[in-house]
Order: sequence, then C-alpha cells, then structure tokens
Amino acid sequence: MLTAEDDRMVEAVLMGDVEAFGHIVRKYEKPIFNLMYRATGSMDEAADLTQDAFLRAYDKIHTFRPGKKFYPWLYALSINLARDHLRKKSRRPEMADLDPDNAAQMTWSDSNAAAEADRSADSERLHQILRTLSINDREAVLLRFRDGFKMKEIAARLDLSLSGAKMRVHRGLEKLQKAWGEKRHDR
Amino acid sequence: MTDNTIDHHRGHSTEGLEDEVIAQLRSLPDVEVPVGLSKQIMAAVHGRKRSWWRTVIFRLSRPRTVSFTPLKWAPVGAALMVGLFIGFNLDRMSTAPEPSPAQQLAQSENDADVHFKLGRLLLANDKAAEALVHLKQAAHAHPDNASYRFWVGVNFWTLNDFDQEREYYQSALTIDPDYLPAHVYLGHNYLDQGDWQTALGHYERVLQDVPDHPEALFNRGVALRYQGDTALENNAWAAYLDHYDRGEKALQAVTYLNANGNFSFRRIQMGPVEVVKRRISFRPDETVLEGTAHHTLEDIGHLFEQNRRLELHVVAYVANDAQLAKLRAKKVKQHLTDQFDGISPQRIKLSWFDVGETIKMDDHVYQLGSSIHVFATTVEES
Repeated sequence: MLTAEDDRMVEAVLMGDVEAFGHIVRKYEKPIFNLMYRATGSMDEAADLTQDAFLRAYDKIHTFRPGKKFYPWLYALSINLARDHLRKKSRRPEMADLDPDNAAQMTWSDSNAAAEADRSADSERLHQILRTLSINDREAVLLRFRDGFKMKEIAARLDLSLSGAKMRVHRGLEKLQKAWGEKRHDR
Repeated sequence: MTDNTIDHHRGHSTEGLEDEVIAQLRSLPDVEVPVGLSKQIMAAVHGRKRSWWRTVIFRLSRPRTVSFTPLKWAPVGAALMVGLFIGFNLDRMSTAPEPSPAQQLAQSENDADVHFKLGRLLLANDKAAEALVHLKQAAHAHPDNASYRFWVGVNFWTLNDFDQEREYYQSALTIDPDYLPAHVYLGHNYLDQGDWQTALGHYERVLQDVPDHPEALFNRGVALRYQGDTALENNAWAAYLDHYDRGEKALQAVTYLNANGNFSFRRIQMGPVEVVKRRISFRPDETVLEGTAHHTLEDIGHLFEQNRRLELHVVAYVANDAQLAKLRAKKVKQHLTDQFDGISPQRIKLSWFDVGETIKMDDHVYQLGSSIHVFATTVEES
C-alpha cells in the first residue's frame, strides 16, 4: 500500500476532486469488503457496509492526518462501523457476551452457505470457527497469520495499543486452536 | 515482547495444533467483491458532495506562492461589487420570478463543472462518445483547466483516437507543466507509438515527483528495453523490483532482467507464493553476507515463519570450492534461525555444490560462478 500515492489521492479529494476518491475505492474495496463479509457473513450486508465505510471515509477525510498511512485509518474506521452495525443489529442481547465485540457471533447467518459450498471442508470449518470470535480477535489473528502484519501494524489497524494487539492475537489464536481441536475430535 | 513471543506462550502439547491452525489461516481465501460495487459507491459519493467551505479552508491552508497582479484581481473586485449590490437588493430580488427551464438549461450549459462531472460519469459508464461532448464543453468553458483537458485526452483514448488524445495531454501540460497524470498518460501514448525516448522523458518527469510510481517505473524499463540500452534497462528493472516484489509485473520485470544475464534479483518460490528478491550474496571468497542479503533473508524468513507447512531448501554453489559452498549454506541457515525464533533448524535443508549454478532461460544457458538458490516446498502432512 503506497503512502505517497494515497497522500496524493487524499489531497486531491480535499481539493475537491471527487474522482480521486474513486481511485481509493477501487484500491481498497476488496480488503474492506472482506472485512465486512467476515463481520456479517452476508454478501449483501457486506456490500452495504462497504459502501457506508467509504462514505464515512469521504465525509471524514479532512480528519485524516497527512503523512500517516491511509489504509490503517480506513481499516480502523471500517472496523468501528462494522462493530456499530453489529451492536445495532443484535436482537438477542441475552445471548451476548459482555464484550460488545462478541456481537459478531450472533449476527452471522448461514445464508451464504451456498456460496461457500465449493470451499474446502477445512476452510469452511475455519470460517465457522472464526465467526465465533469477536471482530477484533478475528481481525487480529487474520492480520497476523494470514496477511503477515507486524504487531505494531495490527495495533494501528485495529486502533489498539501494542499490548492490546498482542493480547488479541494471542487470545484469538488460542480460541481458534481450542475450537479447531474440538472440531477435529467431532469429525 | 517481540512479534514472535506469542508463539512461546503456548504449551508444547498444542504446538502441532497451532501449526495446523496457522497453516489454515494462511490459506484462507478472500471472497470476490460484487461486480459494480465501486461504481455504486462512487454514485453515492457523488450524491453527497463535500461541503464547499471545507474545500475552501483546505485550499487556503495549502502553502503556495501568490503573485499579485492588479488586473488579475479586477474580476474579484467586480464580483464583490455585484455581491454588495445583491446584498442591498435582496428583498426585491427574492420576489423575482423563477428562471424558466430554458434559462436553467442555458445556465447549466455554461457550468463547466456540471459538464465535467457528467462527462466523467458517462465515460465511467462506457459512453465515451456522449461523454466527449460534455468534457469538451467543460474544457472549452475553462481553457485554463489542465484537468479538464486531460480528461478529454483520456476520452479520446477510449475512442482510439490517439492523435487527439496526445494533443489534449500536451495542452494540459501547456497549462500546467507539472500536471503529473498528463505526463503518465502521455508516456503511455508515446510508448504505444514506439517513441521510446519521448515516453521515457515523461516517465522520468513523473518519477522525479513520485519515485515509486508503479506504471512509470515499469514502463521506463519497457522503453529502455526497446531502445536497446541494456545497462539502463537493468537499472530500471532493479528500481521497479526494489519497490514491488510480487505480482505479474514483478515476475515480468525479473524475467527481463534475468534474460539480460543479470541475476541481481531472483524469483523465489515460497510454497504457494512466488516473490522476487535481491540475490543472497556474500563478500567474495568469504562467508560474510552482503547488506542486501540481510533484507532478502528478512523477507524470506518472515514468509517462512508464517507458513509452518513450508520446508526451506538452501542450495549453495561455488565453483571449485565445495567447502566454501557448504559454509555459505550453513551461514544462511544460521542467519534465519538466529533472526526468527519461530523457525526451527529442522525445517531448513541444505545442499552445496562445487560447481557454478546453471540457469536456462529460453535459448540461453547462464553459468553463475557462485550463488545461493533458495526455495520452499509445502510439506504434506502424514
């Protein structure tokens, strides 16, 4: 993700060039859409939330500090939006963990099961387990082990302290490992 | 606590399970974005134009040099006078009749911004012929706007009228010689025509301001390749590869570079991922790694550490010196295990040869005096 290129685009947007924002959208729609998809489990909801995230970014772009990396800013904004959405959507608070992040597990629907039918059984199992994690734990684990980000980068993306990010990765992986072991025994 | 310590917090009994989970995470696929999502988003963005005062504040906050020319400010003075007049006569004007539809149309026809946006919208929707009318009108209304002229050029490109395309980019640069999008696209235009030297000039101009511009970096290599200046071409590929180490273009760049007999960068297969890295080099006749090798090994180690299904092979070649080859292979292994807590020595296999490495590329066979070849294979679980 090129900081210089992003800076130019952001500056162009601030100067009134709406089309420059189109470059930003095309560049980052995939990771943001996937973030939203992991949060909701629905392609339709993910698309709506992706749009909301970019609109919010557009509205708040004047608060972005030049010289900082744009993508972590966008990612943090998107994850907050996803979290808000999941909180609002929750219909069964009595089943929720006290941690509001855990709302994610209540809102996951299996409506997209058909789309995932062609995935490998292991990937599907992992998706199911990931859905049970809080949004921050899930994203922290994926950023660390799938995308290979360093801890301080994860902290920036999730708007956490460094120790908070380490804790999320540690906890997320532990939960995954536990659930993965249990699922393996269930087979 | 380092990035790696999270791995040490787990008991040994769960290590196999952890490896399995991490390996699964590594291969978890992304879902594809629904077609047309970005267009849908941009349509919504267009629906909520930024407040004008934010743009004004931002523009005013940008450092810039202003030269004061009295005549230049005459329109501002006139506008102020008009503003004052309107202010004093607001009550009377508020009772004036609404402009007729014909008047509104006439007003919008003079609004360059409306034409520009409409043109861009039509262009984005593959209606290039209709877009051209509006973009040209915007450019005509504001002949000093480089961006308007640039987009007329882009419009002509989509209509395959490359001469007109070029003319509009050139006119955009006449207005603003530092307008980088026009330099980039003009570079492409000249490259398509086979005018390598002129294309190069534009790409170089872009790289002055944006040294990591991917298209300018890559196409500079293409232009130099066609010019036949191998040394400069190789430098261009190296510059590209220093910034971009994976993806189709990186693989293409390293193929060109290696085909020129330059192996300063090599393809490295890391299980399912192929990356391009600077070669792992040693000081002549020694087992001391060169500085650039440290960067390469850091990147390889990072990839290797993450995917625990991988097994790394380090193959050292030194013509007529098996002992040195062996020591170098061991050095690479030692470096990786020292730098990465998560890499166990058992996952790295060594081999060494007292002959130079032979590399075949198309019809050519290259013989390297000494080299290190690394690659990682995925080990299937039993």
